[in-house]
Amino acid sequence: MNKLTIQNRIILTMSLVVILTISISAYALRSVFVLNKSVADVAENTVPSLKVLYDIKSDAQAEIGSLALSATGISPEARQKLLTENASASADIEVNLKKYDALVSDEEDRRLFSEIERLNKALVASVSKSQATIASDQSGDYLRAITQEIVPISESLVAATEADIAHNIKLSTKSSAEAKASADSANFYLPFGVALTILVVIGMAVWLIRSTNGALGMISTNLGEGARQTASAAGQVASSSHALSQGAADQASAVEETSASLEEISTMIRSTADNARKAKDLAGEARAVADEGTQTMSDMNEAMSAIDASSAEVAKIVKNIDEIAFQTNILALNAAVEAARAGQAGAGFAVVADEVRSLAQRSAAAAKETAEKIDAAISNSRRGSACTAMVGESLNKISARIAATDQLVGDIAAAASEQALGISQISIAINQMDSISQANSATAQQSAAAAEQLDAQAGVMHELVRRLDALLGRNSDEASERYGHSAQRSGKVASRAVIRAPQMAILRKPHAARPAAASDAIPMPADEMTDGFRSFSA
Amino acid sequence: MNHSLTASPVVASSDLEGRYLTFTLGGDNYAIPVMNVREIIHMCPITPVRRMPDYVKGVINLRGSVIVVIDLRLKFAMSPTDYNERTCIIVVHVRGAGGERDTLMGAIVDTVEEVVMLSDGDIGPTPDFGVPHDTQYMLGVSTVNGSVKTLLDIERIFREEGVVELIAADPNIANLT
Repeated sequence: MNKLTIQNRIILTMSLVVILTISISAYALRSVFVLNKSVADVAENTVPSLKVLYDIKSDAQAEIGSLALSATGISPEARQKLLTENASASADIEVNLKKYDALVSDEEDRRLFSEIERLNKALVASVSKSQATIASDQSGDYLRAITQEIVPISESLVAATEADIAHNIKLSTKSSAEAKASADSANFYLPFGVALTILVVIGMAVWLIRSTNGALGMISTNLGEGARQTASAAGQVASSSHALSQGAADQASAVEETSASLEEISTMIRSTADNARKAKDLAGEARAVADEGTQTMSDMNEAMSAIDASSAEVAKIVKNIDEIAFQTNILALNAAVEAARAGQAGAGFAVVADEVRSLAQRSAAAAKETAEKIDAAISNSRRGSACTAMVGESLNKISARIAATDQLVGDIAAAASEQALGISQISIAINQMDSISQANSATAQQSAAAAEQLDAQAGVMHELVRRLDALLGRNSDEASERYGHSAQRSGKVASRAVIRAPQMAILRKPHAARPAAASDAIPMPADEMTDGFRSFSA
Repeated sequence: MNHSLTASPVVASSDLEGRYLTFTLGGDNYAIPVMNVREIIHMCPITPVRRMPDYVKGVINLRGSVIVVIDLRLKFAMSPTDYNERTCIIVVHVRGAGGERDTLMGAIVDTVEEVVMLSDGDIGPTPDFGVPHDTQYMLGVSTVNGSVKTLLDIERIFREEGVVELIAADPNIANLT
C-alpha cells in the first residue's frame, strides 16, 4: 500500500466511494423502478382493467336486466327499446373487450379474458338468435330463450368478468406487495449502505491523510535538513571560492615573478650561448694556429735533419782529414825512426820528419777542433731537434687541449641551447599556469555566484518546506531559526565573494575567461517552482 | 837483418839518453827506445796461432816477413779493448837469446804519439815497488812535459817471457818464416 502514489491512493479512495455510491444508487434506482413498475401496473393496467371489467360486468348485468325485462310482458315497443339498449350494451361490451385486450396482464388474465370473449360471443350469438325469435314468436320461445340460454350465458359472463376482476385485484395486491417489499428492503438496506459508504470513506480518508501526511512530513523534514545542509554547503563553497580566489591571486603574482626570473635566465643563457659560440670560434682559431705551428715544427725538423745530415757529412770529411793527419803522423814517426837510426846522417831528415809530424799534428788538431765544432753543431742540432720535437709535442698537446676545449665549449653551447629550449618550455608551462590561474579565478567567481544561487535555492527550499509544513499543520519554527542563521552567514559569504570578484577581474587578461553570470552556474526556475507550489497549495 | 843495428849499442844499461818512441796503453804513457823500433804500421789482419798464450795474437805478413804480434795490454794484464783506426803495431827487432839472431816482432799499442829526445836528466830511476818482478821490464821513468812516461825494455819483454823461443820452436811459425 505504501508503494502507491498519492494520485493512485486518491484514485483508489475515490473509486471505492464511486463504486459504493453507484452500488447504493443502483440499488435505490432498482427499488424505485420496482415501486414505479408496481404503481404503474396498478395505475395503468389494473385500475383500467378493473374499470373496463366493471363496465363489462355492469353492461352484462344491465343486459341481463334488460333481457330479463324484455322477457316480461311488455309492449313490443318497450321490448324493442330494451333490445336496442341491450344492443348498445353489447356494443359497449365489445368496445370494452377491445380496450381490455390491450390491458391483458398475464396468461391467467388471457385465459380469463378469452373466457369472457367466448361468453360474450356466445351471448351475442344467443341474443341475435333470440331477436329472430322475438320477431317470429312472441311467447314461449323467446322467454325460454331468454331464461334458458341468454341469462345463464350472461350470468356466466358476469361470473367470468368477476373472476377476471378478482384476478386483477389479486394482481394488484401482488404488485402492491412487491412494491411494499421493495420499499421495505430499500428502507432496510439503503441506510446500511450509506453508513457503510460513510465508514469506508472516513477510513480511506484517514488512511490517505495518515499515509500522505507521514510521507510528506518525512519529505518535509528531509527537505528542511537538505535546505540547511545546502545553506551550509553554500557557505563552505563561498569560503572555498574565497580561498581559491586568494590562491589564484597569489599564484598569479608568483607566476609573474617566475616569468620575470625566467626572462633573466633566458637572457643569461643566451649570453652564455653567445660566449660559448665565441669561445668555440676562438678555440677553432687557436687550433688552426697550433696546427700551423705543428706544421712549421715539422718543417723545422726537416731542416734540422738536413743540418744533421750535412754535419755528419762534414764529420766524415773531418774524420778523413784526421785519418790522413794520423797516417801522416805515423809516416813522420817512421821517418823520425829512420832518421834516428841513421844517426848523425839522418839529422836533417829528422828535422823534416819533425816538421811533417808537426804539420800532421796541427792538421789533426784542426780536424779535431773542427770535429768538436761539428759535434757541437750536431749535438746542438740534435738538441734543437729534441726541442722541436718537444715543442711539436707541446703543440700537439695544445691542439688536443684546444680540441677538448672546443668540444667542451660545443657541449656548453649545446647545453645552453637545450637550456634555452627548456626555458622556453617552462615559459609555455608558466603561460599555461597563468591561464589556469585566471581560469581558477573565473571558476572561483562562478563558484561564489553558484554559492549565492545555492543559498537562494536553500532559501526557496526552506520556504517550500515551511509551506509544506503549513499544509501538513506542522511547526517549522525550529528549522526556520536554523535556516535563518545559515542564511545570514551565507549572505555574508556571498557578499564577500562578490567583493572579491573585481580583484579577480583585474588579474584576468582580456582573452581569458568570460564574465561568469550566476544564471550560467545554476539554471534555476525559481518562479516556476514557487508558482507551481502556490497553485498546488491553493 | 839490419847488421848495423845489431852492431850498434842501442840500449846502454847505464846510458839511457836518446830518442824514444812514445805510445799509450789504456791512458798510460810509455816509451821505448827508437833504436828498437823497426817501423810503425797500422793495425792489419792478424792470423791467429794455436797453443800460444792469449797475449800472443798471432802473426802478420809484413812485406813477405812473418812476424809474431803480441798485445801489450794483455801482456800487462790490462783489460782488453777493441782495436780501432788509432791502434798501431810497433814492429821492433829483438835479438835472439844468444844475441846471434835478430827477430822482428809486433807490439799492439793503443796509439803511437811521437819521437822525443830524452836526456839523462829527464829520466828517473824505476820506483821501488817492493816487488822486483813488477819492474823487470822498466828502464826508468820520464816526467817530460808534465806527464809520466814509463820507459820500457821491449826486448826484455819479448825475450824474458820466452816468446822468442816459443816462436822459434813453433813449427807453424817456423814454417811461415
